[in-house]
Amino acid sequence: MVPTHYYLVLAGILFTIGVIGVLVKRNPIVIFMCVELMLNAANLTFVALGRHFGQTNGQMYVIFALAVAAAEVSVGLGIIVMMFRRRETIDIDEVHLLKN
Amino acid sequence: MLLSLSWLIVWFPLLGFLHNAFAGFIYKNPKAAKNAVSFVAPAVVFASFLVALVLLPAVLQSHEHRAYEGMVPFASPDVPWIKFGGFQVNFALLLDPLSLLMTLIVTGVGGLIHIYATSYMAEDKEFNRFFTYFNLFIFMMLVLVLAENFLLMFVGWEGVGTCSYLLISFWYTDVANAKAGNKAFIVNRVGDLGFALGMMAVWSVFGTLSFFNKDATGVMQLAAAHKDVMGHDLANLQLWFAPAITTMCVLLFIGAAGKSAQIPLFVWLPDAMAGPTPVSALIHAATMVTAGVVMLTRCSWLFIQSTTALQIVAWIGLATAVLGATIGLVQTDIKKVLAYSTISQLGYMFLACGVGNFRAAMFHVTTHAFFKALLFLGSGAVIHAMHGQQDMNKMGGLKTVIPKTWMLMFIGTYAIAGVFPFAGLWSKDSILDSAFRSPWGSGPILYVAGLGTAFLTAFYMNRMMWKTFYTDKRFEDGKLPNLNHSNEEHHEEEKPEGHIHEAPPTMLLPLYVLAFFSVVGGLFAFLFANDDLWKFTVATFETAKPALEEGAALPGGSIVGYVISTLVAVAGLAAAATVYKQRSQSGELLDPALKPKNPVYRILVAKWGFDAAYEFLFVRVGGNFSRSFLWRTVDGGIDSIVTNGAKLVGGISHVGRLIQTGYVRNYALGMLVGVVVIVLGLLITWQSLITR
Repeated sequence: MVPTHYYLVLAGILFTIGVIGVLVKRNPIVIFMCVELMLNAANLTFVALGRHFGQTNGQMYVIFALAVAAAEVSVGLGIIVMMFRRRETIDIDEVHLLKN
Repeated sequence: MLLSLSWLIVWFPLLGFLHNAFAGFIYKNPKAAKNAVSFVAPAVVFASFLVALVLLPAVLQSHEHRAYEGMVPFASPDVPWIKFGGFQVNFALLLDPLSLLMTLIVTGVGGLIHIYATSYMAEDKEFNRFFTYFNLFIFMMLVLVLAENFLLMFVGWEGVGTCSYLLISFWYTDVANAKAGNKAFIVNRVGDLGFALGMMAVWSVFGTLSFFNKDATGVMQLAAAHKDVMGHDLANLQLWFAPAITTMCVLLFIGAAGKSAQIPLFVWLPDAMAGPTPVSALIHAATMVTAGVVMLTRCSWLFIQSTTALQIVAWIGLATAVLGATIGLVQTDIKKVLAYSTISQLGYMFLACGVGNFRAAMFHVTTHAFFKALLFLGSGAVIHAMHGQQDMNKMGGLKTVIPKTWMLMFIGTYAIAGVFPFAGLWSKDSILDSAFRSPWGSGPILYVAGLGTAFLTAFYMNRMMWKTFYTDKRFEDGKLPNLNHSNEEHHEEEKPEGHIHEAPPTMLLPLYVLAFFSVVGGLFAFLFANDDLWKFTVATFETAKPALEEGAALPGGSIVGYVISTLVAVAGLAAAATVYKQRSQSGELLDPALKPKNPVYRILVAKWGFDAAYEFLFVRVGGNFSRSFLWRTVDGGIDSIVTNGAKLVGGISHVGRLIQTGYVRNYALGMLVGVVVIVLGLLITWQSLITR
């Protein structure tokens, strides 16, 4: 059986990749993918630790997290579509209405 | 109960005011609105007059000739307006001989002037606005005279001041009129401050503001009994009681001096003549300016407690009478002559109050209302005939042209001069008589000065008559101004006097009524001589009682007094007639070339320097003080605190703003750093917990 800390390290690597992607990428779709990566890293730790302790809680949380993530993605994609319609671009650096 | 309908007296003019104000909405057609207003405006005033007349017997049959009624329809007089702690002010009306007398004058004379004004103002574009203010004025004046307490009186007091302001600057497109309105309002503020302070002094001593009330705890009833509202005996505290009474009386007198144009606050009244002539007649001659006298009479129970205050009132009144009469000698504007004459006559009324004969003051208020309204409306008829010309130097010889107006003005002149048997003689002589018997001394001085003023009054009034009606015609370009007047299309042929014409009957009718009362007004003496009628309303000076009772059979007293007064009046009239008959051609007493060299003339034309002094003291010096100190230093200092505070915050924000880049990833990085710091912190904490 694969030891639990292997999963945790993999999750840590996935999460870090996600964070770096969010910070450096300018395409919101890629940023979204990175956010999903971070979510799935968290899901992975849930399932891994659930198995480690022999409980079903972790798997249940993953189901919730997936449902929430799906909803969040649909909203986010909607925002991106609207942004493109209004501005003809989805470059994240072009959209900084908070400044000025 | 008939008296419970007293609220109608004040509500009729209020409804008239609302009707006139919204006439433009109520009636589709402007012409219909105008017709309705010209009917409703006088009608509501006469309705109030009739109600007051009907209530008169009921009031006189009440206990102590006094009735307390609610101002709110169908309500009792105990409806509170303000109530907190032990302080209560009610919406209540006080009906007694004084308030009903004033109500009858205000609505009677006021109604006649309303009728006159419907014709005088007929061509004005803002006819409805005029009568809106006019009815509002009547309402406010009735609140003033009928108020049961100081505070409600103050409402009317301020209300008539506002209406006066609105009507003086009625033709506001002319800056001079707007300025005159401002001057009246601002000068009155000074007096109103005195009234307000006096009111506070009254409350702090007596603990109540009502004049009279059912429980005998009104200010006047308490003042007579030397008690405060809790029943404490104030007479035991003589040490501060007498100065307190003097203080409140002087403060109230300052209020009265502002409203009634006494020295030093008289300067607004001549300028107030900028308003339409009916306004001058109603507000600035017959009613509003007598409010000060009414207030003093209402507070007679306070004033008789303080000889000092009475002396101040009397001397100021006398000085104002002399000053008004002397300035009246040199005025060339027909309305200004009458304005200074009003100031002078008001001085007489204050003199009467000051010597403790408040009833004589009210008698003069009554007769003065008749003959001064008559004179003002007559001068309005002259101005109407002259198409707006008010300068007497450009009149002359009008007697043959407008004989009816001449006759009416003639009656008014003889009435104010005080020739037997016209009304002015009886009231003026009753004042002079009580001045002679002044309860605090100086009687002969007051009497002689008063008599001298009577001579001057007769002189300047006849001067006005001669300049206007008798001397040679001095019209501009040798004939009357020839304006295109819509009423005058039938005057096709050119007459030497141009398009001059007698006033229409609606204007002359009120004049006939006023002229009638100017002749027979002396008959009202029996009202004022009736001790039984007044003893609960108006106080009589303690030490003056024997003298007053002796003269009370007929105020004015002895036959000798009447003869002297008449002789003085006739002498004044004759002197003016003689002087101006000789100078009929120019109509000038002094050669115009000599005028600037004559010191007396210069002082009088400069109004004894009052206007110049105020201009210097308040406008120039006060203005500079305000600009340099109050504005630049005080206001500037406060401003700099605010602006520098804002600059400091701005500087801090300028630095803080740098971290707000607007890029989402910068904020995300910030979040990440934050999370890392928190996680590290937690780890370190756990580490230290485990190792311990």
